[in-house]
Amino acid sequence: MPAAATAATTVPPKPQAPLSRLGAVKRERLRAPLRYMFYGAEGTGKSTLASAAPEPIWLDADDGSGRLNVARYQFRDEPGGHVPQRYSEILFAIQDLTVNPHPFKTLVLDTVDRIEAMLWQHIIERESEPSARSKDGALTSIESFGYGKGYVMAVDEWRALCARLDRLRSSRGMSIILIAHSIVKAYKNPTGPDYDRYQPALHDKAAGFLKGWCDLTGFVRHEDDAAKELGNKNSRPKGFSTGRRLLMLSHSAAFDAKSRLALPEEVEVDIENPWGPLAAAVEAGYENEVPALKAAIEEEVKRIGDQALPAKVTSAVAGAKDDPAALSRILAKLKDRPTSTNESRQ
Amino acid sequence: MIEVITKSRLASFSTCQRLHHLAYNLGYRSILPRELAEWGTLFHAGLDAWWGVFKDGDGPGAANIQPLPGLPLAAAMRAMETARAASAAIDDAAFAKAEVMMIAYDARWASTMSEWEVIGVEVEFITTIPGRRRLRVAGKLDKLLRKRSDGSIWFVEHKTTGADLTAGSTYWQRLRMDPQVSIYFGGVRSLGHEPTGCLYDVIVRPNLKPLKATPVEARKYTKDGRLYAKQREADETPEQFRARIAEEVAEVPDSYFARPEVVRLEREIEESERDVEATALQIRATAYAEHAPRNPGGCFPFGSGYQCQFFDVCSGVASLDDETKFERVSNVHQELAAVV
Repeated sequence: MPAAATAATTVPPKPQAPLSRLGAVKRERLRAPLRYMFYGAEGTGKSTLASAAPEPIWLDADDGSGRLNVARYQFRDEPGGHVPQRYSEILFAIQDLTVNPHPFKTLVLDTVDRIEAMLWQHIIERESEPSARSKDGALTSIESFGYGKGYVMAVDEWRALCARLDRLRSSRGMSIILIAHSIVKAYKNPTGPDYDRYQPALHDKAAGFLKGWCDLTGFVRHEDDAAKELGNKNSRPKGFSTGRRLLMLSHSAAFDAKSRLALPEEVEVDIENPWGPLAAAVEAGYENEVPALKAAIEEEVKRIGDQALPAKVTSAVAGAKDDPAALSRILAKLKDRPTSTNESRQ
Repeated sequence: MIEVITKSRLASFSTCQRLHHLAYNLGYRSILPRELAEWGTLFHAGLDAWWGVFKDGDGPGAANIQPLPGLPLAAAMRAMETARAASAAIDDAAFAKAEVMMIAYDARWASTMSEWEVIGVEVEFITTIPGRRRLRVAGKLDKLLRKRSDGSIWFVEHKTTGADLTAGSTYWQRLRMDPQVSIYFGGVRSLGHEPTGCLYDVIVRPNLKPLKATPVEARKYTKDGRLYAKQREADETPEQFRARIAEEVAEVPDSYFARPEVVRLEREIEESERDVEATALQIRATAYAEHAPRNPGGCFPFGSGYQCQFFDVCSGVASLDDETKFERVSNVHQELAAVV
């Protein structure tokens, strides 16, 4: 029988409705998991704070998490296999967590100052290969490249590492916590006397880059103070500790800190519930995000001082419909505008 | 009107508004031979053929069948011969450089190719920027790859350059904000893949020229009648020149080839989109201006070794009406035949 005749007598199947996913529709604002950096002196509670984050897994570069009952990535099947020996093992672990399913919600890199040393060694080994681009003498340290070039190369490695961590965040919805020790460094103050301040124990370029990459950088410290003896005005002040541990979240002359959310200047690292106060502050920060952005926009409009601007901005803010991303874009554009001079206003 | 922005258009506008006006608003192109640009085009043709041999199928299940050794190089050499026939500026010496560099490229990278699945060669894309309905961003990825070990997606950008590639040089630092890489991340996403990074595949043009015979009147001889060591009786032959380049490249291969991984962080992609958006708005604004100003600082881009194709026009020694020097094209994005 000719094919055309067959086709004419065949009843076409009844089209079926596509499987519906409409029942799964959700209305909510999506919140990307955050990137944190906690730094401070030994024993201030940085790791304890991180251990209370949701479902953490540790990359224990420092071998310093022993007293904590936490999940640790096993780099090798041997005693001490939870401590990476090479930078490539850290990259492999991040890739493993990115491509394979697992229950963890937070990745803790403890500590980034130890990882920095491994990263430097990785660069030295790579550039020491026979065909490598650096030919001037043996490479024994990151300083061997001369003129600070080694630190420049290290920034590119940090960028590559953070790009992998970004991919982990987006593909697995994991928060990232970087833990660092602190160092006290002299600050050359251009507007007054020099002073000392705490900063992460990293090279300046790496510290600057990681601080920029993180959504929240907090300095962890004991609440310390000093006072004279009661009733004795001539006594020397004596230092004392209140026993409280604090996570400092806003910049001060004494330490580096920052947050992209509207957070309080400090939150307590509570012994019973270390993560709770920070989580509550972050939640409140999200709730306050829209009012804080609107207030910042108003400030920028005032700073710019262009009389035609308020009407335009009011219209744009109304169009943003309380969407933080849209408000952030408006704010970024305003921050790019110079202040109007009297001349330009005429 | 829909505005199409490419990395070349962005670069030309950033370099000089007059260059952009002549090339993209009016569609002029120089038809004079330009050796450096044509050398790059010729070598690029060889690279496309070389990589094309490794393209062995589609999808993550594609078999890892590696071509026989020598096949990619043979394909590249054939492609360069063909490209040379269409080029007026490539002489024997320039072609010898290309041949040696392609042999060296094959020796440097062929053994690493089993790590990669080549998904596409010369892959064009066209995409949008959020909130800008009349703006399109287009480009062509030199290669699109999937890493066999973990399935991650990468794109390759080939660059031929005369720049210093030593570790920590400024050539690498500027890549942190190179707009082309940033734009191409979005391009890969528009093709349905999530990019991990860019393999920035750099090939340095050897800065060597064939040696000429010492003029007779300048020749000096030793007591036993031999020519001084640094003087020559005859011009260097193409074979001798080829051997000299090969020796130089073999001595320090990583001064001539590098393939670092270049990444973009989430915020950098957003900032790049704002850069493109702002430049596109400036382009639109200047299109309605009566005059596109010249920028003498852009006539001889530092480190590029060439002059702007319209330098003679701007400096008053040539005319755009001269059909022996300039042509006018209808599609100003000729490199993007498929999407624009």
